[in-house]
Amino acid sequence: MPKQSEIAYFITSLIAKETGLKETDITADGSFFEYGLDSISAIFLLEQVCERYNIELSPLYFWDYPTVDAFSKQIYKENFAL
Amino acid sequence: MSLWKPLDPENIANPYEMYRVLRETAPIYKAQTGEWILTGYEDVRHVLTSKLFLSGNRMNWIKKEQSYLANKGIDLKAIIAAMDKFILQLDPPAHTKLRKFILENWKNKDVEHIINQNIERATNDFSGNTIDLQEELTGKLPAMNAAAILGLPSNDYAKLHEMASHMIIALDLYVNLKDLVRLNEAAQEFIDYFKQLIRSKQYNDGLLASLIEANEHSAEPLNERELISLAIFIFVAGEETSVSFVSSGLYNLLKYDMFKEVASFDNYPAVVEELLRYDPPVQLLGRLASKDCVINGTQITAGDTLTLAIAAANRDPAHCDQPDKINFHRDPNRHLAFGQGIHYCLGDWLARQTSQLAFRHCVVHYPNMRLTEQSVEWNKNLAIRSLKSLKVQLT
Repeated sequence: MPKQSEIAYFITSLIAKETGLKETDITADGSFFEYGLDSISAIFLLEQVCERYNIELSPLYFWDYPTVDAFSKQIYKENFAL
Repeated sequence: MSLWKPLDPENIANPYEMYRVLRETAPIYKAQTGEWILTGYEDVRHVLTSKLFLSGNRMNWIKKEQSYLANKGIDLKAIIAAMDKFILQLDPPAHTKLRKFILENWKNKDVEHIINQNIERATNDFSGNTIDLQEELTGKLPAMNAAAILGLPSNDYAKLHEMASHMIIALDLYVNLKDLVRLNEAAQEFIDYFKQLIRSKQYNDGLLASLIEANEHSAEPLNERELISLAIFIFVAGEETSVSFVSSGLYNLLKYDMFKEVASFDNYPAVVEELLRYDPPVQLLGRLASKDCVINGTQITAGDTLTLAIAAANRDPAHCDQPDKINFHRDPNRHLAFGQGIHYCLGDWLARQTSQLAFRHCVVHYPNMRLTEQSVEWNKNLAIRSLKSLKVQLT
């Protein structure tokens, strides 16, 4: 069972890889869309998250939870919290 | 939290409360996705009929997605080829020319006997008294009709319906990668189907034959690939929306126990219009603002995406008295179920006739039909909302 911090790290590294930013430039409460995520790349990145954790996520997940903190918290809560 | 939750299963089962809150709170609402959600009748009608708003938005997005994913080694080329001539996604002048081409060559509009024959064929095959009507009638009737009208081999309808049920993802507004991969497979199957049919000339008399013949005599003929895309569009757009409406219409009549009222009223055109208003199959349509403009006091910027909630507009109390009530006596009943303006549905008459005849058949032959399950399941697509199944007891 992944911890929230691990999910947060995974999504941070995905965004960094996609946008060319350094992982340290991506903060817990900065908007994904300000880092350059858009409706084109979101589909591919969301699939990486689904595959990594073997879960299903709504196509609007990045918009409904648009920061590393909100995103990882929600995934943890919906799928792994006891 | 956002008021726009189009993928919430509760909202897909009943989107009307979400629409009401949006219409009352912010009828032109900036969603978390950046798009504007329009829920008021006059605003939606205005955008549908104004030249400032374009239709190609979704297609542009899919093209960008396709080229992005190609770099990741994921191939979606078939989607682009299949959707190339989807006139719903085209703007003038390309749209005007293709629409005219279809209309001029759609000669056989006398299809009542075809629909009745297909209803007979489907209902004669009912497997028992407790059945899934979606599987045994409403899910297949539109494919049987579309196959007959286009002139496709009549036994192909099941395969065509299966492909179309995946192809319709093309018109969904919110999809994931698995949806796109499935869509690409369906697009490829459709392309292969029509290519084989056209090359072997295995089609019968009908719309496809008329289009092919007219195309041969055209000064600027479509190539094979474009013609196939047009054929896919005509099939999918007409078939999937009718599947959705015939089943949801019957569901509403059964849910509110209205078969007796419909039988004694005996005005099926009015029944169909009211159900189209009350619960239309196409719930959402997308548009793109071509210029900066103001809609009803809200500043819209060129390039903004607008999502028109047709189904919400149909229930705007400013336009319609007691909008949440089914009332067959509304006259006039100016709903937006078929859109409005240059993209007004090409097959409205076919959808109307199919649903009128299907409703009448059920009401007359199965006056005691009832739902066997209180709650029904919907497919995960609010843009074109449809039932997964419709379990009923016939007598």
